[in-house]
Amino acid sequence: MTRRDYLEKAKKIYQYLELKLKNIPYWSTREKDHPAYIRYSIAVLFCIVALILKKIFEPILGHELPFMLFYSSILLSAWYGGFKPGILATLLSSIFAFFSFLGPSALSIPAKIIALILFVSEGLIIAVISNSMHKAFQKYEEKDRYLRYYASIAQNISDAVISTDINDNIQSWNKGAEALYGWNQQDVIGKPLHTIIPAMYTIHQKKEMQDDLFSKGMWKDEVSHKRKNGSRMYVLTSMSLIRDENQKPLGIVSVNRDISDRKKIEQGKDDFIALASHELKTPLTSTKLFVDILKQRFELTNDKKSQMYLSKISSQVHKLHELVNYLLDVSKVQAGKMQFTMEEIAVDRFVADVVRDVQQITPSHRFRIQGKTEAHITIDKDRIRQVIVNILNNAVKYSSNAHEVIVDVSQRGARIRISITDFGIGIPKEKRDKIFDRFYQVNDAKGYTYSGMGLGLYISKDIIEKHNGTLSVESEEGKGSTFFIELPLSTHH
Amino acid sequence: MAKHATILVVDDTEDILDALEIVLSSEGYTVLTAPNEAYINDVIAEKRSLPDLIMLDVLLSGQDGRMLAKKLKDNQKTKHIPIIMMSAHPNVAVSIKECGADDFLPKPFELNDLLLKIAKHTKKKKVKS
Repeated sequence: MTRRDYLEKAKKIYQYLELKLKNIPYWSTREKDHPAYIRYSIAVLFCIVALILKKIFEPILGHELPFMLFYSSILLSAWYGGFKPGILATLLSSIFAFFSFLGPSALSIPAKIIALILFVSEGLIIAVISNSMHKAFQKYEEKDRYLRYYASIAQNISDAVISTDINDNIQSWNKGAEALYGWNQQDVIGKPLHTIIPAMYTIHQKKEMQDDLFSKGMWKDEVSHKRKNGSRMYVLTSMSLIRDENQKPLGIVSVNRDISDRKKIEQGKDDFIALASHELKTPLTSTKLFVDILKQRFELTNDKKSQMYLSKISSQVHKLHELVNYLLDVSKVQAGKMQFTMEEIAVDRFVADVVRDVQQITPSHRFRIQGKTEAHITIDKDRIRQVIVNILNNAVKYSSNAHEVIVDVSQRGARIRISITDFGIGIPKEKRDKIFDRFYQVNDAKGYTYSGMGLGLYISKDIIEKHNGTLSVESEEGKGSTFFIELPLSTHH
Repeated sequence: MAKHATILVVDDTEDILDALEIVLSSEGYTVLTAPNEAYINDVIAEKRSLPDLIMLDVLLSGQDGRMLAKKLKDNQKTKHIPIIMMSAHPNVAVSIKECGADDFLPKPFELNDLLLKIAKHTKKKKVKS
């Protein structure tokens, strides 16, 4: 399923939920379910029942407690019918009670009137309280329904959903977790999570998890987890901090998905690419060496023609080597496995060296270096060199009518910027974002394509971003492009 | 340049052995070649004289060059011999240092890089001679 499908599904569930809540068939929902005449009739009925009961008990109780039983009829009328039927019940009851006062009683007439006023006031208070209590009860039921609905979503989701309190003790454990880890809910609730699922985090992961949970409130990565039976598997875990309404952390909820199968396929792919590149590079090694041997021989015999043919072979072998490296790099970028050996270097010297090397094999264009920084950066020299060489080669490739490429080095705050400007075909506005995609290549105005695989900038962008830098472009169609490499300065310089 | 140093090249690809022999001989080195660990075992067992430098492929047929490097570096007699490991395998560069090898040359390499590395590790010999 795509992300779009998931969103569609979530939307449908939401609509269903909304509909359900709107039409909850409460037997006691007054204004919505019962028409007014029923609600008022019920009030009248309760009062009549109270009167009949009063008459039945009169031989025992006499006339001393004229209000008894009428309180109940007011309470029940307000509960079932709402506030207004409650008032009706109060009025009816007071009329019935008033007639009771006509009978023999110890009270004087003014006292009887005061008692009646008190009865009406109390009746009104009971009607108000009963009505609000009923409303509160309804709200509670509604919320309870919501909670049970969400709890059942979490419980029945196929991924493992586990929540812990701030002391890492397990608070909930859904069916997905039971299936994934082999532990039953009743065995794990209240126990520390790390004793149930021993996870293997790298030092980097531990630090990142703590930092991310604290700053962003969530962390996501692939981790190795242990099942109840001791076997290990790879899961994609997504942890989120749970907070109360005052933002106080209550614990963590993690959603874990088994990705062992995907890992196996990825590993297989990595192994294959490593093997394929090894197998391709071995013949390249001996080919290169024999080309060098022949070159020396033809130099000795001064065989110009053979030397020329050989240099053509040499450049093609070089291209083949480059392609193999590209393929290897792409697979590393995709797997996030590119490794870097960082060292601190002086920017000016480094850029000058790289540009000089490319200049030596590029007779068609003159590279002009501008600007100076005297700054130091901490980088993987070979990888950043690869990026600069790639952009310089692109600059030459896409500006066959021009003869100059400008390389500018400058410092911008805590960053250094290396910009490379060509005066070639440029990049149309709508294609500027796409050039960093895999296998993307720019055509010129006539639709002509250029050689290459369209992988250089894709790999370059990843290298620069892994150095906490940025790679961007400004361009005008027909006039040329400028690529900007920005990298952070070394911290202790 | 340090000439007359003896270099032992161990690689399971015959073409690479041939090419390196031609290239290095023409540079004045004495070149010994071996397709597997047998020669190295002889060196360790003192059945053969010690070379001045060993160029060792990481993935030899059926053997791990890194193990051989470790064996050489663990032996008192051979631990001083500089070892340059070579490999076309992309992910081994990191593990090279752990086995005690002195340098690494990723395949395919430029002739210049090869000669520079060899010169660097046979320098001491030159001073002595």
